[in-house]
Amino acid sequence: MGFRSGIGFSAIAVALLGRNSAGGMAFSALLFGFLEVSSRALELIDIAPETYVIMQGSILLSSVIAYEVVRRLKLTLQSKELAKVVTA
Amino acid sequence: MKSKATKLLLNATYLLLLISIIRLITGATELTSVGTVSAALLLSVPIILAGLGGLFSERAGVVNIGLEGMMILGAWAGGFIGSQHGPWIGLFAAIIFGAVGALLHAVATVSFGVDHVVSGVAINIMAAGLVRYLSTILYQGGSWPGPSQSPDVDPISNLRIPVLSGGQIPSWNTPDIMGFNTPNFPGWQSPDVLTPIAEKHWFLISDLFGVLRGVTGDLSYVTLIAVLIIPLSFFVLWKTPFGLRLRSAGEAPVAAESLGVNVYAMKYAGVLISGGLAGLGGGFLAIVAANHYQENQVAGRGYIGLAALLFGNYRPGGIFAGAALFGFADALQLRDSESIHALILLVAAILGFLVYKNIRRGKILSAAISGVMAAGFVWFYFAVDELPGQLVTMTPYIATLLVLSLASQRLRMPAADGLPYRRGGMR
Repeated sequence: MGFRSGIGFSAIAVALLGRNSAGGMAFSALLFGFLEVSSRALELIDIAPETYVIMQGSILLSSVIAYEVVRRLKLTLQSKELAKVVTA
Repeated sequence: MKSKATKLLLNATYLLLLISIIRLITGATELTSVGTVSAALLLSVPIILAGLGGLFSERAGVVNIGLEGMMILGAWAGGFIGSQHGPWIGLFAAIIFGAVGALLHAVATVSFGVDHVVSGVAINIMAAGLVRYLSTILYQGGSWPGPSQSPDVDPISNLRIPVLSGGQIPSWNTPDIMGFNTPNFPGWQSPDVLTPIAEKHWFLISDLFGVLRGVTGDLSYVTLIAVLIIPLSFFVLWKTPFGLRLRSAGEAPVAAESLGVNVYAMKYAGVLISGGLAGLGGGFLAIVAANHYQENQVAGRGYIGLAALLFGNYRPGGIFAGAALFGFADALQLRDSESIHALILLVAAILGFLVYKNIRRGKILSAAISGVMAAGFVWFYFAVDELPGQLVTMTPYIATLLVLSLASQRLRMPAADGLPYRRGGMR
C-alpha cells in the first residue's frame, strides 16, 4: 500500500466521530480503516469501491445527529421529571 | 473627508503605479499583460463565488466548512447535466446541486443543532465520495470517457466589448414598413485598440491598457454575472429588510426572535443561498474555466474562498480583494513562472506599505512584523535568481494568506457565528 493522501483530513472526521475522547477515536479510526479495507471486496461484485467514502461521511453525519437527538431527549425527560417532583 | 469611491480609485491607481514600477525594475512584462489579467479574472471567479457563498451562510450564523463539498457537487452537476443539455442548464443544475448539499448542512446544523464544523466536514467527505461513485457508474455505463472525466460541455459564448476589445456590433436589418426600403445597418467590426498599446510596454499607460483589455476582452457572460453578484450581495445583505433579518440571525438570534424574525427561516435561506453560489462556482470551473468535469477540479478552492471571506472581514469587498490577489498570483505562476520572482518584490512592496500604515495608526508591533516580513522578502528577491518549481506553485497561497492576514487587523466575525440556536431559548 502506497502512501495515501488525505489521511489528515480523514483524521478530522475520526476525531469528531470519537467525540474528542481518546478511546472513541481509537474505535472510530478502527471503523474507518475497516470500511476502507473491506471496500476492496466490493470490486469483486462490480460495485464502485468509492461507496466506503460515502458510508464514512453518512456515518459521521448521522451519528452526530443521533448524539444531538439523544441529548435533547434526555433534557426533556429531565425537565419532565423535575416538573413532577415540583408539583407533587 | 474623501468619499469612499475616490479613496478606492486612488488606492487602485497607487497599486497600478506600484505594479508598473516593479515591471520596469524587473522587466517581467507578463505582470500586466492582457493574457495574465484575463487569466487572473477567470481564476478568481470561483473563489469569489465560494467566498460570497460563505458570506451569506456565516452572516446568518452558520459556519460553512462544507463549501468545498458543495463546489464539488456543483462541478460534477455542471459536467454531467451540462454535457447533455447544454451549458446554461448545466450551470442551473450546478446551483441546484450545490443547494441540495447546503440543504443537508442546514438540516443538520439548524434543525438538529449539530456542531457546524462536523457537519461541514461530513458534507465534504460525502460529496467527494458521491461524485466519484456516480462518475464510476456513468463510466461503466459507457456514457463517460473516463471514470474521472465527463464528456465535453458546449462552450458559453464570450462577450467582446466593441472599441475596448475588438468586438463587433452585429448587422441589423430594419423591417420594411409599408413597402419603403429603410436602410439596413451593416454592422461594424471595431478594431482592437487596447492590445497594441498594451504590448508597447510603456510605463503605466501600457499597464492600464493591459488591465482594461484583460478585464473586458473575451469575457464570458458567466464571469460578468459572477462579478455583478458582488455588489448585488452587498445590496441584499446591507440594504434590504431581508438582509437585515438575515444578519440579525447571525449577530443576536434571540434578540431577533423577540422582534418576530423567523430565525430558522433566515438561517435556512442563508445556507441555501450559500450552497447555490458555491455550486455555481463549481459549475463555472467545469463549464467555463474548463470544458468538462474532472475529478479534483475544485482542488481546495472552497477553502481558499473561505479564507478570503475570513480575512476579508466578512464583507464582499474584502472577498473580492482576496480572490483577486489569489487569482493574480495563480495566473502568474501558470503563465510564466519567472514572473513569480517579480511577484515577490510586489508582495514586499505591499508589506512595506502596511508598515507605513501601521506606524501612522500607532501599531508598532504590527508594523514591526510586517517590516520583518518585507525585509525577508526583499532579501529573498535578491538572494534567489530563480524559484524552484514547488515554491512557484505554492506562491499564490503564501502571498494571499500573508497579505490578507497582515492587512486585516480589525476582524470581527458575526457575534453568534457557529453557535447553536434553538427557538425559545431551549437548549
